[in-house]
Amino acid sequence: MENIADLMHGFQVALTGYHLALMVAGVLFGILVGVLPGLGAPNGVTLLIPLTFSMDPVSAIILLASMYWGALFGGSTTSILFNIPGEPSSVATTFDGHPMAKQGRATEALSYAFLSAAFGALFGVVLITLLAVPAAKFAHKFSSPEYFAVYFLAFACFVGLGGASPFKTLVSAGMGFSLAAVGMDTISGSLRLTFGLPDLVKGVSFLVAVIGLFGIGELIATMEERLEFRGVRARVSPRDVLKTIAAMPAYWVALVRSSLVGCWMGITPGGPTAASFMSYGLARRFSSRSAGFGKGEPEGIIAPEAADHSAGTSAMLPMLALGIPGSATAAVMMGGLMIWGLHPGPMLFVEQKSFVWGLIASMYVANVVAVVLVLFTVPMFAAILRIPFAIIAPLIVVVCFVGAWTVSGSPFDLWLVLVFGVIGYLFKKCDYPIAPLVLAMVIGDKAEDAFRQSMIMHGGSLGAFWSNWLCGSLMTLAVLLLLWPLVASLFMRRATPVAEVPVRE
Amino acid sequence: MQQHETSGDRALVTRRALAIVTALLALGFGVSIVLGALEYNVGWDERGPEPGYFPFWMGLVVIAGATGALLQAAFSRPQGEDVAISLDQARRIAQFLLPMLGFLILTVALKLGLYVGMVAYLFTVMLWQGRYRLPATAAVSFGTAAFFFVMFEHWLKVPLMKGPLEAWLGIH
Repeated sequence: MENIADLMHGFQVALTGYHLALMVAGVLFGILVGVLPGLGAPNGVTLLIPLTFSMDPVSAIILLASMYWGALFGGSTTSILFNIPGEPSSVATTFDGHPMAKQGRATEALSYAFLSAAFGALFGVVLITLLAVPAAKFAHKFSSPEYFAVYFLAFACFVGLGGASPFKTLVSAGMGFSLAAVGMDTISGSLRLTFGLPDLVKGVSFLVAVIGLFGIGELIATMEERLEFRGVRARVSPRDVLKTIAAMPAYWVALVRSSLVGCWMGITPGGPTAASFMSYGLARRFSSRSAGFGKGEPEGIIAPEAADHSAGTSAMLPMLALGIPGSATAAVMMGGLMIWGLHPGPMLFVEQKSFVWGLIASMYVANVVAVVLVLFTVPMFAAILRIPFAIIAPLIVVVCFVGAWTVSGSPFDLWLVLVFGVIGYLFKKCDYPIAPLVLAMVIGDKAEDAFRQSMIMHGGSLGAFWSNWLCGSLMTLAVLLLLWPLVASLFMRRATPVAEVPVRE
Repeated sequence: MQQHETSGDRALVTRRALAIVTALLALGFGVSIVLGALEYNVGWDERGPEPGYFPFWMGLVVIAGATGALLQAAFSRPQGEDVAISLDQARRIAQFLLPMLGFLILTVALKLGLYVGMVAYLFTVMLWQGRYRLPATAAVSFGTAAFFFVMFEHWLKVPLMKGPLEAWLGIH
């Protein structure tokens, strides 16, 4: 087995003292970011990227990825203890996690969440280990038209399967692509869409956009509600954890089903949030204990958590193998890869073997590190939330603006953060999805290049995209997905949502 | 939801109004992208699309999506309580955004730099909105600036934006 040898090499890369220290630091920082409302995984990764410019790419990606895992765990902690999701993807965990904690079973709820999350994550990593090489080999056949077809398919998935209004998804994606086009045109070298502003010549950085959209936007939405953290106290005792571990195998059906849902939603760009809701909905529908859902049923914690984490990890597969990120956070990481001078996509597996396998091996290790760390640091991080939000919120604001400055040292970017913050708030309020915008900003230039190169190759005819079976079927599938909402609205008067998203009380 | 309605719960902006405003803003964005793209060639030559082509069509996508969202919002019938932003919420948003705007004006428009801006911002917010005592306020605001200074200037070697105060003190 070729990939086993590669993986072993990866472990050699990942298991150095320096990289283990980075994992611990990343996970701890990630938990902090995940616990604090207003700072989420995409935003946390974004804030760290400018600080990794001088690092070795393997070390940098290990730090960022570990932060992502930490953030996913941190988000579940606040969901369970405070009924306030620290991350959008852990909203579904509040449904059963918080009721269980209120019954005095906080440790049990946290252990169920963390253990099933770890199961989901490892499921995702095993999938990546097995599929990464075949996927990359398959993608070696790709040239420009195929790449454009895959990009197009990714956005068609958002429209067809995303759950948000197709119109709003179009607005979000279109805005992202438009923003990506600002500045230097990579093919002709001319300047575009600068509207005479010298500050726009260098383009609009997706890092600045993410800090505004996810950081400031999220904070405005949080400030709008009068936030009170009335949490359940938690002290994790090893005995309770062991008891939960012993109870876990009974839920193997829910674990496997949820992990599969998560992997599917992670590879297609559905993302962890959609995955956790879908998985919760499926569990409630098919569980023999469905009556207990919403009142503190373990399966109601296991389902969203396993799906959330397996979606989070498996979102790395299309990013590594095809150069298409499966979630907003993966999009930000892919942007980081491009800044470090790497080219995400199949060539990565040939040119940067240590990077790819070091990252994959680190995902095994970091998730185990994360479970152990999160179990023992829960009381500490829960204490942070007892600091009044009147201090925390302004500090997060300062961190966001400092982070935006470090992207390129441009004062103009600070104003942009505020503008994106307001956009992010409006998007959140009016149910516009943000992920397509971020994805479009990251892959915008690549998508446009792929499109124009295919046109140059085929003499400017759109037939280029149907010139062979692979490209043609990808494009046809994408067109069908784009038309799907139209067809669905003709046949079904009103689609029934898988799980209803409750308004935050 | 709450049964007793106080004056602060009243809607300042309804869901429908907010949806319409947001769609109109998106429409405006799309139109400006299309106009911006029209300054270049948006056509098609023998080498395929010209520089303005891609942004032009993306602007049109935004316009199409925004128009759809606008029509949906305009013809929607409000269901139940139609509150997007209540009076109280608007007040809290303003309390959050206005000091932040002040932070940016001090930092960027008046070119005082990030350190001066963050101290002034944290000081104001904590003292007036958080109602903390002076010693705690001073400790947090100056402490944060000192922390960022050590971390960025010394440890990470990433200089943050500085203004006349730092120049006067001889810090670079």
